[in-house]
Amino acid sequence: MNRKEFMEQLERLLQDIPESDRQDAIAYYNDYFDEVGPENEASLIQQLGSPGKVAGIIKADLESGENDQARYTEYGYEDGRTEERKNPPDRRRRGYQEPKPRSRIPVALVIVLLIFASPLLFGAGAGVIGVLLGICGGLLGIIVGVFCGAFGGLIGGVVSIVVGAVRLVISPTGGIFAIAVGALGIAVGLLFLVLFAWLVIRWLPALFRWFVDLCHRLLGHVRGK
Amino acid sequence: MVFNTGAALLDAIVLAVVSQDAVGTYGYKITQDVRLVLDISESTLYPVLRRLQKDECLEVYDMEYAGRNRRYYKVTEKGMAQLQLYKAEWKLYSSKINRLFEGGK
Repeated sequence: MNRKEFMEQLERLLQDIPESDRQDAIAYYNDYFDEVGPENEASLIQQLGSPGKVAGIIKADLESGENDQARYTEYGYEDGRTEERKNPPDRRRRGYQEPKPRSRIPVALVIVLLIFASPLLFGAGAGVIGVLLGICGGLLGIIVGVFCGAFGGLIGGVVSIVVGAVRLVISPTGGIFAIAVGALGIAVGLLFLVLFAWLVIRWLPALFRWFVDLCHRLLGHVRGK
Repeated sequence: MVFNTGAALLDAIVLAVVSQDAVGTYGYKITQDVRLVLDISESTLYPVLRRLQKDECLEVYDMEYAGRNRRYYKVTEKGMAQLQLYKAEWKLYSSKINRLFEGGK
């Protein structure tokens, strides 16, 4: 394409704009070709692009009289709506990256800390479990002891009374003493039985509930971390 | 360039370029001068010059040069006032951004 062809095509493409505007544009580009001279004609045509592009820029300006979004940039005529498409890839090419949300505690650090603290954590955990088991064992011991005390007191008391009754015939003093001891044994046995019943009925469920609650809280605490 | 040049800034640059020649200058030279500071295409300036002419910021006259007519552009009084306004606005705008970028208070 040479200058003549370029200008003819441009004029044809500008047929639908007002006569004065067309003549003005044609005069401007004719001037332009005159300035660069015949030797630079080809390179000017290359830089201008196609006649269609030049005509498009001229028409866009005429149409965008009151369009505030329209603007001329170093890329040529641009509309506010087309601009957005141009910027983001450009930014990314230049190394722009969306900031990534960072976790507050680095996972690797937590793992390392857990590994180093494991003997301590294990020791502490075992200690806590040991204390709890000890308390449970102690309480169970008390309950079993009370039960056995009651059982022994009652059995012993009954046996002592029976032996005392038999002895009464042979030795009244020893017999009465044995019966008295037996009665005392039954009294103590009954006392222990009442204590045992009270422990089993009132204390054991409460203790059990407290223990379950404690376990829940410990587990919840660990999970919460 | 990363930054787009809006219509107002481009108008201001063109007015500044044209105002450098008291007798006026012509389209091709204006384009080459603007291209010293902005990477614009050869076809960008025609509509800008035309609009500034319509807004009476630029006036045109034809003068013979090397046996042909050459169209000259000259900044009008209104154009000069507009250029002063642009320059003041730009000074304010750029100094604020410079201050921010350079971290001073």
